[in-house]
Amino acid sequence: VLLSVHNILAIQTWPAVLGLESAQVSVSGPMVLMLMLLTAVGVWCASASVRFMQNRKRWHAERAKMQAEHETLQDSVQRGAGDVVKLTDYLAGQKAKTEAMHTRSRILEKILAISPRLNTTRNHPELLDNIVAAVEEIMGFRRVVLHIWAEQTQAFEARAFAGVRDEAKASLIGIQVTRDEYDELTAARHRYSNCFLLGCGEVDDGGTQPVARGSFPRDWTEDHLLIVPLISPDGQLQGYLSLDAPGDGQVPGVVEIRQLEFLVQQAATALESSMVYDTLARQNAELSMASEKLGSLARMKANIVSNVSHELRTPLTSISGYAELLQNGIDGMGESVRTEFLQVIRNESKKLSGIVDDLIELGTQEHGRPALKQVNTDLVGSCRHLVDSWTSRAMERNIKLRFEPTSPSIVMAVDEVLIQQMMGHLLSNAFKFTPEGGRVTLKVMETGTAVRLVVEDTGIGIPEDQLGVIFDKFHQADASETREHNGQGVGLAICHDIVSHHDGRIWAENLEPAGARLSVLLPRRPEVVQPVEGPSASGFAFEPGEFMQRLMHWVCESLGVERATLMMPDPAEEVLTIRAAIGLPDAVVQSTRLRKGVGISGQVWASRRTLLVEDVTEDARVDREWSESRYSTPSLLCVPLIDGDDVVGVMSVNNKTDGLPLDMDDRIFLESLAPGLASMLIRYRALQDEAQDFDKIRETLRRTTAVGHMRHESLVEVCQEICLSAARAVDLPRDELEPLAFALQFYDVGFSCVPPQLLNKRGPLDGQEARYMQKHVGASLEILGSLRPDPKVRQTILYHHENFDGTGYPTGLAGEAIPRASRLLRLADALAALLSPRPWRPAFDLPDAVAEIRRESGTAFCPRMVEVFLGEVTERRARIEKLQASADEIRNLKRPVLDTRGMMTFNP
Amino acid sequence: LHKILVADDEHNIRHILDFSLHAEGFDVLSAHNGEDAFDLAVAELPHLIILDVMMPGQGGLETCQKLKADPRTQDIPVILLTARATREDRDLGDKAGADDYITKPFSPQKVINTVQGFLGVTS
Repeated sequence: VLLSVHNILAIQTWPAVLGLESAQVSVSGPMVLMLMLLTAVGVWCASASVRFMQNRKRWHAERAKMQAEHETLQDSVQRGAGDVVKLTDYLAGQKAKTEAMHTRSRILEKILAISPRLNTTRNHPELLDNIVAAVEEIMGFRRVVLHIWAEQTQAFEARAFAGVRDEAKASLIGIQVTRDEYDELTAARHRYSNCFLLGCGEVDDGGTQPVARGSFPRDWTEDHLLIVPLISPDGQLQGYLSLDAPGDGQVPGVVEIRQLEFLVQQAATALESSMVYDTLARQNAELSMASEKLGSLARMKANIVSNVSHELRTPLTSISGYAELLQNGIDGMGESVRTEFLQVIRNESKKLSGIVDDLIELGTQEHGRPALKQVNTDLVGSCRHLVDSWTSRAMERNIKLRFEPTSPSIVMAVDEVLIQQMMGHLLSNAFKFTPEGGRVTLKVMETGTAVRLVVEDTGIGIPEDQLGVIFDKFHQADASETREHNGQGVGLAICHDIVSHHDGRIWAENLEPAGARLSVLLPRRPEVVQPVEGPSASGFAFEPGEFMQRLMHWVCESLGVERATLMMPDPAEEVLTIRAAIGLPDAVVQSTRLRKGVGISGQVWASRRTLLVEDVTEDARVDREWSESRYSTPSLLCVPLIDGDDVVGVMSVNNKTDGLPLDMDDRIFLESLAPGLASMLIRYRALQDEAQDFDKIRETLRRTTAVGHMRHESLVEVCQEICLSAARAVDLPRDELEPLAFALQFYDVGFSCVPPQLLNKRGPLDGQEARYMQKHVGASLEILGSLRPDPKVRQTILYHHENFDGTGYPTGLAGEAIPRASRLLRLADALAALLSPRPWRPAFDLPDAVAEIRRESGTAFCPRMVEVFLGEVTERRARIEKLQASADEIRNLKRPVLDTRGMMTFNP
Repeated sequence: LHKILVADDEHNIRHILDFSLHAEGFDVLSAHNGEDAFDLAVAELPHLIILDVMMPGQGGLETCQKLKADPRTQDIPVILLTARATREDRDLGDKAGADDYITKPFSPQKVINTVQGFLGVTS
């Protein structure tokens, strides 16, 4: 029983079992048998109870152990639950991170998607609208205004809007923000990266340094305005975006600001290209205008040819007619008649050759006149020079030549060469009809809206019925009777043409008691507007290399890396070379060459797949040698830039600034950038090709220049350098300095039109040869005009043979009227010529050359410029003398020769 | 005796024509512009008129047109002398009613032949 009780109790709780047992013992009575039995039972019980106690002890221990185990279990369950929470949190964090990353890459995708649209928009206003729309759509700002720098007003003007009501727009359009005002606007404001947050107070450092993101407010208030500057690839502030009302009502964070800047950078680049395109379009328009002018000139030429054929046939008719009469020997023709006929034939032949001369002259004019080239010209100076050149002829014929300008200088934009030609014809015409002892007067008068040039003579006058036609028909006043003057009136027709090309008027009237007056009225034009100073004025707006560098900076900043390298395949050598790099020494940049499959970038190039290496020292793909080099980093990321089938570049980044390895985040970011980068690379490669073409043209021109006189290239370069230093020393403004630098390289390119026999002629040139020689100035202008139609360049070259005392050519300008750049160019030209040998003389020593220049100071050269110029020469004395002394250099003189085809070539 | 009127602003050309025609026995009248030529034609009613196209003032074409429009002179043959010999110029001459064309430079003999052809005389 007990056993069974025990067995039962074994699964009961112990205190209850004990209580029951003691109750049974106390109820058992005094009966012996019962007692014995009970004793036996008691013994058995005692022994059982000892056993029980022993068991109980064991059970207690086991229970405690179980309890401990239970607690441990409970503990670990609790801990496990904590881990699950942590895990959930972690996963949630990862998810948020991934989502943020996705948002980020979605926005990037959008930006990149919009970028081709921006880049293909050539229409300026449309592009501006696109930019604003893109910012509104992608970045979620509900109010966007784009302000663009306007050259005309020298201020920023609101040009494109999103979410702005019409009346607000109207008032915004009127506002002009100057550069100073912009600086004031953004000074001492909260700045992050390049952006400014207005409306949250000022900062201490004046806004020069970005403020910590933490000091930005989180919520956007009505006072806030975000200014994002548009910086062109060459660093110019093109304009800015002002953004308001963000969709999420929050001040944009780091990532948003970065994205915004990336988008805006795309926009700025597009804007720059569109400006280049605009310039191109403008040049095209100018070109078509020029060709239109050319067309009208061609028509005029046809007209002249038709008229001239009449003029040619008239004397021809006389010659052949009289010749036939003589040949037929008409009866009764006496000796005197024969002599008379022969005399007529001779006279008519002379006339004919005169016409041929005129025609040749006309041909030259035609040739040299593709379009009006208007330059600010002092008409008084120009006419004075002309009068001077006629003085000797006037004296020969005993005619008084007077010059009566109403003011010392009348400056107007005209084609100076043409106006000179025209005045020459008018003077020649007046001389033709003025008998000995007469008088010819040239007057230059200024009225409010026009300039009047008048030539008066005391000659035979013009028959009243011909006053109206002398300019459109080739008839001289005495056409019907005695033709004692040669010349066929082609000149007056040309005058008429020149005047009408200047939108002017020419007419003739008779004077009392005798003589004629020919008047030219040229309407006053605004002086030539100088081209705007700016990135696009110099032809190429920016250097592709510079753009790359900026791009790399941006990549570094965005990824938070110290080093980024962009390599591009070199098609010629089938190797990768570094095109742009941040954080690498120049020597490495220049020397690095990777074949396909070699090194990290070479592998990426070959495999076309991104490579992310967490630890270069442990990665088998990394070249051991490289991983131990100075430039190795623990982790790197290398992404191929693919366009279609081509790998156009390989971008690799390493050295994260926070010391962490580059991870998947970075990989996704950089990969999402890759297509955009690739298309940019292609565009900039194209641009670079263009720039190279431009350089080739330059080089060709330079070589052509060398065709002229033999040139000692290094000496010429020193002369150019001296000239530019002198120009800076006299504070020549920038917009003249750059044209001067250009002019210095090419000013005598026109020598290529002068025959080498003439260039290398020993001994003095005769009058005709000298005139021919002088034509090189015009030829230079013509050649350069097509390369760079810049009035400043033209002006600088046009006057570089003018003497300070007014005895130079082509216009005879004198003194301060000659542009300073031309006066300096004259000196540089002279010095280079003196220091170089000529066929008829050896080179001058430097002291002799300096003495020569000093001797001509005040006559040929401007004394003020001579002082500055020679100062610069002195500073380079040693160099020049060394160059001159160097026999090698002299041997390397390039001597132009004619090859079998009659082309110029060089023989070293 | 046939009367021929020659109008040209060039003294030499008038002289050549005058000389050649005279030698062939024609009576030659000359004028050095279109207006004089017309007046002379009306006054003298010559048998044939030679007009230079390019003359100052009223040119040969215009003068020819006037002569052909005037009943007094419309039957007189008119020969135009011209330095321009394009198709267009000929058409213009035809329009003006000219009877023939001689291009400068011309042979005096050819002029005489043409004149004789018109007047039905032979030398």
